[in-house]
Amino acid sequence: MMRFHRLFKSIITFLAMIALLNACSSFQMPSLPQINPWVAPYEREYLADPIMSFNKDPLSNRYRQHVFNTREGSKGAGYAHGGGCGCN
Amino acid sequence: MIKYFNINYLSIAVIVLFSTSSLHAEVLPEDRTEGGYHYYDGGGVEVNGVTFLARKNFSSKYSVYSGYHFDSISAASPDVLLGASKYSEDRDEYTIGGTYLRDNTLMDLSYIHSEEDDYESDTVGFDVSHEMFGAMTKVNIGASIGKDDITRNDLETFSEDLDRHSFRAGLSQVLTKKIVARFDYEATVEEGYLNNPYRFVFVNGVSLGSGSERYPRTRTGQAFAIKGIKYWDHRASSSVGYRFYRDTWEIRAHTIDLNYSQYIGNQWVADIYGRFYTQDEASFFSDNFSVPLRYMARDKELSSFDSFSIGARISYDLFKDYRFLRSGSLNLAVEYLDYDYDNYSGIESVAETARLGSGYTFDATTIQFYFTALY
Repeated sequence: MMRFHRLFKSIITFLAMIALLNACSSFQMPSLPQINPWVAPYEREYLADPIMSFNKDPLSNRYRQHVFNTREGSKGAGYAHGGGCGCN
Repeated sequence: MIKYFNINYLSIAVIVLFSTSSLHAEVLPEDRTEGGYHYYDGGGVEVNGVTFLARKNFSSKYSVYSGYHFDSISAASPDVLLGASKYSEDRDEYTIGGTYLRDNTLMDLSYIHSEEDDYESDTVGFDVSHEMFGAMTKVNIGASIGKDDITRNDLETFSEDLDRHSFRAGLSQVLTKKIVARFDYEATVEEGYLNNPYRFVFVNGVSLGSGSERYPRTRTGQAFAIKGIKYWDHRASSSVGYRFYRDTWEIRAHTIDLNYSQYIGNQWVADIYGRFYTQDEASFFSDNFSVPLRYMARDKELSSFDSFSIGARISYDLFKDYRFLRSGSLNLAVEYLDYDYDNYSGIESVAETARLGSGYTFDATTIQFYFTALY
């Protein structure tokens, strides 16, 4: 368990350090390598279609994940989170 | 101790959010209102209720949302019948949250409260997503802190609590003009009372009585998921996803999700989806223990089982651009679920203890009927 705390703390500390550098006017944010998008904005017609969303029906998906979460021993990673049980 | 650590992490994460600069413009989630009815029937449990979710943007930088979910539960599952008589209860869940957009960074803070007669739960979640490389890549991180209070309806002196923490990270990547891939990771840490307070165990066919399950008071889990979605020229899309889960209770689970969406004419969208799931049992699960152990569970959610589900959803566009509404649709979703347990017997009375150790199966049906309005 402490292993996750250490991992969590390390990631957040790293992000905080970058943020503080960025916030300070005397420093410049290290620039990310310039990568030209291989799919141009005008080529994203299909990607913008609602049926290309991983979560096209948020209300329905959330209910569906609750049904599975209360009947199975696993959870997490892109699947709905929240509280409550309703699982007897 | 853990709680204070995570609150500090959240504070630092807030600093991160408000200090990040960017070059490309992200947009807020679209304004929408959804509401409807849901029904579940299977394994002796019947649940029906209503759900409502609304989101509204302000000044293209701020968005607030709110939701309500109500379940009316009538339970007569084997677990319930073995320990007591059939019962009914209600569950209310309230959600409120806000999203802030700064250049290409979205920050979301949410609060969920869930309430039953014998279970109360509060969860605060914080998520940040950031677009980069010309909106080809989107990364996100998030954390949640939750606290549950567990009581028993039949024992006023019983009171336990549970602290829940989770950390998640993900990456979404445009691969081609028609394919997107996504990776997600989530770690969960739970500390406190993780049992169901009513369930009990058998030792050599003899029941130890209600509340005799004994679980470890900590549980740490990790989940890894990868998904892909592709657009097809005949106005359709298909997606496939895989998730692996493991935890310190030695549960290993594999999940495969499939979905196919197809436009039919100008007003209909049909979805067909399937899901396959398998998990190993927890190290301290048994349908019938031979000797009393320090930790003992007979909860079927911790047993070894397989399940599959197959479902379909149909959406009908009622209108487009009517007054202030951009579109409105009606949706109907029906799903069939099947659960097949390896060594959970599902007996409903002590007269059936000869069947302990045998496999139990049940199937279930869910129905959702709801409307969606975008504006």
